[in-house]
Amino acid sequence: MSGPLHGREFSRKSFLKGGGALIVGFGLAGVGAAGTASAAAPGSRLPIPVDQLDSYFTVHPDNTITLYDSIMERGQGSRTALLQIAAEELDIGMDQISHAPLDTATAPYTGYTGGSQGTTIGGSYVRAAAATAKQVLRSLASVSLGVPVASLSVEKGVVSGAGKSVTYGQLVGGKLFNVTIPQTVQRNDTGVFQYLRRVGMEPGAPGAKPIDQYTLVTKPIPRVDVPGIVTATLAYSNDVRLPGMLHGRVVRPRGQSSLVDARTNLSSLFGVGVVGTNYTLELLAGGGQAPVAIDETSIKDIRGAEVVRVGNFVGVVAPTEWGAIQAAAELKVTWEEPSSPLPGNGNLAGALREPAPQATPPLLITEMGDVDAGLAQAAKTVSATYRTSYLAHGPTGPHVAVADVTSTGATIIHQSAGNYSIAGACVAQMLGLPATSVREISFQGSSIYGGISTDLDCAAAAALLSSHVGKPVRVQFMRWDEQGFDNYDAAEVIDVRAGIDAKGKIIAFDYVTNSPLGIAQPPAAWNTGGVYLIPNRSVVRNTGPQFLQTAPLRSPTDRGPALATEQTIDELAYAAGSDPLEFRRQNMTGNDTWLAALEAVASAAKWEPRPAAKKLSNANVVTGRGFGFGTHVLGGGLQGPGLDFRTLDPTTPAAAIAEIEVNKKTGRITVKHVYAAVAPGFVVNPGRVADQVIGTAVMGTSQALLEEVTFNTSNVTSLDWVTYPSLRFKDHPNVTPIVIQQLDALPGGAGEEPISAMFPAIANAFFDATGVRLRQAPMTPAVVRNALAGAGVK
Amino acid sequence: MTTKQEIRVNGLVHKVSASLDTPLLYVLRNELHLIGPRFGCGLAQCGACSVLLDGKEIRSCVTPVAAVGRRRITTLEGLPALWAKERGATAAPPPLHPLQQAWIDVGVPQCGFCQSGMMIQAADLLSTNKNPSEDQIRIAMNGHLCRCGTYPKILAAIKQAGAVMAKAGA
Repeated sequence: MSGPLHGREFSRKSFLKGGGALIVGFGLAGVGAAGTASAAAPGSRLPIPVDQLDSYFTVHPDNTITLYDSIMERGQGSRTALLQIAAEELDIGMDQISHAPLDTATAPYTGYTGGSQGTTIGGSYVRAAAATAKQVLRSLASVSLGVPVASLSVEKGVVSGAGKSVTYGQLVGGKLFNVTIPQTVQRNDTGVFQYLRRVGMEPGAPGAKPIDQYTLVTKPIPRVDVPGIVTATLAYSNDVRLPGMLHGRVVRPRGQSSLVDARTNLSSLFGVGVVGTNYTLELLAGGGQAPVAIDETSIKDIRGAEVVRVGNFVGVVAPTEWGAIQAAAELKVTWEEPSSPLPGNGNLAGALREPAPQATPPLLITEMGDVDAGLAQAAKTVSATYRTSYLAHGPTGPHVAVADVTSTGATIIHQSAGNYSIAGACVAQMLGLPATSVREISFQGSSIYGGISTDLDCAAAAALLSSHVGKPVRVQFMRWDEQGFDNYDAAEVIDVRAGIDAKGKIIAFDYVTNSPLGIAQPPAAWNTGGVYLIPNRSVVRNTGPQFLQTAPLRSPTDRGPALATEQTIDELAYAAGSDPLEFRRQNMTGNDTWLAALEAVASAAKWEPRPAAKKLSNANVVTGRGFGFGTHVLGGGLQGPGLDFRTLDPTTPAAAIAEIEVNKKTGRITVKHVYAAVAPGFVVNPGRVADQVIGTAVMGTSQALLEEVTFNTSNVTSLDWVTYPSLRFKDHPNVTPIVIQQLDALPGGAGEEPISAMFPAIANAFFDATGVRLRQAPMTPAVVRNALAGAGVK
Repeated sequence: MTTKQEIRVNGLVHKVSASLDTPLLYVLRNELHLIGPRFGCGLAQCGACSVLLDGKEIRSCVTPVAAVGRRRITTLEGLPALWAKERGATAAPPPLHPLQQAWIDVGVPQCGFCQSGMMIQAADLLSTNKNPSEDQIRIAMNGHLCRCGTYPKILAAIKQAGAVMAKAGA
């Protein structure tokens, strides 16, 4: 089944032109170590069909291949994994394939880089395309060599048979495939999220390479971009500069105030980047505080500095970056008072229990049996309230965007969280340009760990400033812009009641969370008791007011549930007089994957069974160990009465054991060692997944011990790394990562799950060390000292 | 107020036109087009902007260009030449500093944004101690923030690089 090739030569450019739009030249080769790009003329945004082979690959005459897709590299190795998948299916070497830059004018939309979809969904597109390409190439070689397809073999892109050979480059170099990828790839050019939608081809599927013939996929191949990173030869979005470019900065109050317009609630999150988005200048200004007066004379001494005010948006531009920074800092702006008060982060526990202004009925997530009846029958019960805080994304490098806006269109080059191609629609709407005239390009950049709308803020600010000054403008957020106007991970207050029968079987589990309006997802079943066989189980979400902007942060809506649930399980184990792991084994559903994760960390940590807190000491510095499960379930919101959540999208179990040290006097917890395991199903690159286990164990430790967005009654006050502490080098745990490979399973997420497991693992270790429960995060020295004093422990 | 100051970066002398109070970071990035040092916080809290000044790590985001005078500035781009000089090699500089090679071998970076500053601080540490203990590494690197959580791998890479440098007798 030979794919029909056009007789004449086509360049990729002509293929894209065939899509009906004009490509304007943009010298990407110019964005190199020097970070200089040639003039980025406003470009087009093309509907590049995901079911056409030519959308993905350009085969060059020298037998190398360029891959086009929309998955970004945000430090998780996704781009390398996709090259591995393509090279494997095509039977070429890793040195024969590279990625084209992310560019809405040239690359198809193969999904969003986030929600654990980069390698799972993005990989399924690439696998389908590469498998199809190989079939076409073998057919062409058969004709070219006069040898039946069945007698051909391929190595490093050279097809051989009957003593003859031909390269892929000789077969199609510089030409088009003009082939439609069969059935398995569905069109999805607009969606931001594609939960549960497997659009391409899974590993070893019919038509794809059999898994037992793999030579690249499943191997721990190093990241292809690392040499460029460590030699400063790989340009990030931060390093792009355009001729004649000015520097811009946004001017806003220090720290957002109360949120009036809940722009990032679920519906608007989905709306962004699709159609009918509500992106407005008021949102850019932030928090409903409008500028009342601007004293432009306050920056008159800064050479070339200019104020741009549009609606409530205030920004500055200057010829030099330092000039723009000084102008933004020194411009005197009187801001309107915040429209409504914030509760202050210290009063969140009560404030979150207030009903949301927009009355939202309680959401019944799981209902099995009768929890009240179960609790009434229980031999022993426990109950407690747990609390988590707002958390910041806190990228090491703040957002950056370069925009070049002309009367006919715009080009935006920016650092993006996960979908570099959604800011364009917002910018187009804001500037009154056709959406198809805004081209977006993204290079590597600081990881943002989720979050969406702050991307739009930076890109939109750059575009707005560029359109006003008629020149390209680069905007980088200052640290206080990033920390103060983030879309935070939401705080929760959680009430749990649970009970065991006389034999130590869990018979009731009642979970009620109070979380703010705007939080993206309800808690996942697997994080709220779904791992255990519990006949009577109820999970309910109450929606409280939204105080701050929120958006998903790596493993969203998982931290609170894991902290509350896995501590409750530990308390039940203690009540039963059991070893915490043995108690779990006795009460688990028999799901092999969760059990495998538990056994993996137990074995790595050389866990010796005993009930917790049996080795309490009067010493000031004491040690303890604790266990926790965690996960992130994309389909977590799809449970409901009568719906068996266990049949939904495959989830990735994570298990962690933390070994900690507690200084009772100072209240300081030090996590010394973490054993963490994930079972993400089919693993494309176990080495890079191990990196993610290490990274998420460290990030989870940081969040559990230190991180908290603070605010008074008017504004957010955690605006830098002193007021928003993050785990420092001296205090990081050593980590033993464990990756469980399951060749017969679908690929699952691998960059989030251990984070939530760290919260209960540390808290349970604290109980083991002290006999006292920590029911809130972050577990700061003050929280620890209070908990110990409250329990009379010295 | 602009100046005709000259600064010495990675073995070369450069004329700069920035005002005297401009932090070195913006001169290195925007006038010299070096991309190793990066803006992370502008407050000397994270270390993404670190460079060596006469071999000692400084924060270029808060160091006015006027303050560096004629002292030697080394960015990530200049580490291979610095290593050649340390060894007294007269031939062409090696393509990589042992720290860069160790970072590749261990596969340290995730997003990579902080790693230039990490390698600069590690170069400072290893210039005086080729065999640092784990605690010495933790303390020396404590001013550098990595949000991706690569600390354990950085620790391993510094040990590897130190061993290579000790063996080379520098």
